[in-house]
Amino acid sequence: MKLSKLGILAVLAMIALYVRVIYFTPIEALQGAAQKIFYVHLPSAIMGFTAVGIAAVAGGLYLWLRDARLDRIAESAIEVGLVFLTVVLVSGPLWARPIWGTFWTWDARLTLTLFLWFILVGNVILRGAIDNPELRARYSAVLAILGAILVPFIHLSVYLFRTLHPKPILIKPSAPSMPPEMETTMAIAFCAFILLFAYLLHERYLLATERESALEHSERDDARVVQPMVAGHGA
Amino acid sequence: MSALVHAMVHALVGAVQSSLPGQPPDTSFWYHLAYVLVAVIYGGYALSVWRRRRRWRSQS
Repeated sequence: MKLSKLGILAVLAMIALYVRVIYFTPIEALQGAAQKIFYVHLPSAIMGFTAVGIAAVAGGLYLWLRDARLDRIAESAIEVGLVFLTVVLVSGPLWARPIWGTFWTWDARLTLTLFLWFILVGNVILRGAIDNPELRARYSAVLAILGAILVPFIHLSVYLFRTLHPKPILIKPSAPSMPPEMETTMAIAFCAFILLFAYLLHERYLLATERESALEHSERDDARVVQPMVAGHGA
Repeated sequence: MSALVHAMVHALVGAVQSSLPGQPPDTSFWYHLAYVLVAVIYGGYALSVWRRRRRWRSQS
């Protein structure tokens, strides 16, 4: 497995993040070490929502311009977003278990995030179920836009409803309420996750491009095989 | 083997320390489990993309 420069950067950044979190970040007094899950939970959520936004924008532009490259971007963002949101839905309950005493509660933020995850799963299944490329791209774009509409509600859900999930301590109008060492770790986490996201999205886009190219080749080969048979049959 | 003993002693000391008043609770199991799973999910996905790319490249 040969890594690109972006891949090497992403791996190094993730290693640096793990070292920073394990050895150089203080343990929170009330929650203990479980609070450190925050440094993978929040950046994964932000990148997951970013992916949903990218898929919606690319899908919307596809509906307007009908450019296959935009569909490939949307397809890649949906799959990568699904992976990031899976990490959110795995790391969140593991953090909740020792702090809330339960893995899961049906509060607004958790439920809406799970709902978005199902929309992304549905989009991936939909793409696999439709053979016509244009129809597949159109349906997938509409579903991606519907998914993106959910993102602001997920962010605002902690203000709109009474939830067990805490309100933002970093992304809020006033200053972040974290000690400086934790803020530095979070800044490193964001850099590492942006690199990881960019790497995975780029690789997934290349995969979609290579798949299209391989399918075009195989269709051309099939046409070459069929033509002499038809000519032979006619003679 | 010595690493395992070291880890067990470390966990025991951590559990005793966290039971003392004024100490943070010992929730390190969940933190370790989360970080391992995060690495497995991202690493597994990167590997899956790489394998699929290799398959399509070989077909084209």
